[in-house]
Amino acid sequence: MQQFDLHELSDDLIVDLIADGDTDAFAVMTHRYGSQMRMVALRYTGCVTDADDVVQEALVTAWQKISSLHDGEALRSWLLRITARKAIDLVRQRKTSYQLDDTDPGQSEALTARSRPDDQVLASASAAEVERILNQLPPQLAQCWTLRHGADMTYAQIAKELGTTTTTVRGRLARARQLLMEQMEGWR
Amino acid sequence: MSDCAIPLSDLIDYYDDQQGSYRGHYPARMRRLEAHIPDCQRCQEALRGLARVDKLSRSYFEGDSQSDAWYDSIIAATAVESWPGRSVPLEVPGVSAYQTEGALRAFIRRTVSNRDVLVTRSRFDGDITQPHAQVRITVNIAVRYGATIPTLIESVRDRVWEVISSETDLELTAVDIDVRDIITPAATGGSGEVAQLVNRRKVSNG
Repeated sequence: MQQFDLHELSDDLIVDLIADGDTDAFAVMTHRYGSQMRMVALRYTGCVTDADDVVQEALVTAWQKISSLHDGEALRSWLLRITARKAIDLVRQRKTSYQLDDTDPGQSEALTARSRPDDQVLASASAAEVERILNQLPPQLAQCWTLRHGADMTYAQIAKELGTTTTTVRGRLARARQLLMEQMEGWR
Repeated sequence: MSDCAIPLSDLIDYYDDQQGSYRGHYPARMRRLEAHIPDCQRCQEALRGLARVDKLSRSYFEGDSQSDAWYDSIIAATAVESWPGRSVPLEVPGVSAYQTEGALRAFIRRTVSNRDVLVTRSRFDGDITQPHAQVRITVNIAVRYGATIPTLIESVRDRVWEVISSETDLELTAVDIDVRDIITPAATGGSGEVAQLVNRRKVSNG
């Protein structure tokens, strides 16, 4: 049916096709950005199962709302923002249910992105290093860092999503950056 | 090396200010640092370190691609289906029949696209839920680099006309064609540069 390889099309065209109801184009979009969406979700929720749920929900929302995206070139950051929002919601809900039933969801599962048996070997020592340090950061700092560098959100966007101020976000990011600098660059 | 004692936190503020992520909050301190940094190797090295940390973080999040099985399962889990859209009535004596707008769009994508043209989207303007409604159709297309665009546009228009008159009872008043992109062999991910030149050439046929 397709004479063109959808994988070679620009985001702009992929968005157009999805808005027209093309499920093959939707699969291409998922292949293009699913990995980064998953990293953001995983890093934010700290749980493999939750991360996949977040990505799945984000993709469904994207499918439903893609007609509202007027600039196809903004597809990547749009998807990452939806993912971040879903992850934030999920962690919020988890906190509520945690208080209710007093269990500790998520924590028993692996916190590292690459710990599943079917995952490939580490891409590079540097990525492993970033992961190791993020694992050691207080969750609030690691989450802010994820929104900033994983989901490409601005300080104002992060503040809005977390219901806090840009000053607080700036503080958390500065602290995270300082810890990363100390550990990765040996800076004191 | 200088014996500068500027704390890293100040340099982080400076770095944020330079990056535009948190600009204009400490003007006096920024001016002092601006004067100091060009002569200070330690501060320059710290700023390079901050940039390295950011770069590594970004590539960490970009991550490796996931396994094929993961993509397959996540796509299956979303269970997305083409939305039906409006119901377009069909005149069949004695039977109440209709087809969905979604099916019609899919049909246009499939049958009008060929080696040189890819239909990406179509829009039906008019109340297509009424029998024999007048409709104006806008079709977005991408064309292969090197193809003769005016000829292609003619053939797309003819083909859309053919599809609508054979598959529906709608009365087609016009087909507008919007050339969204030129697909170059090397085009990947973002929009091709050639495409920018001719992007969104709009052709109307009344």
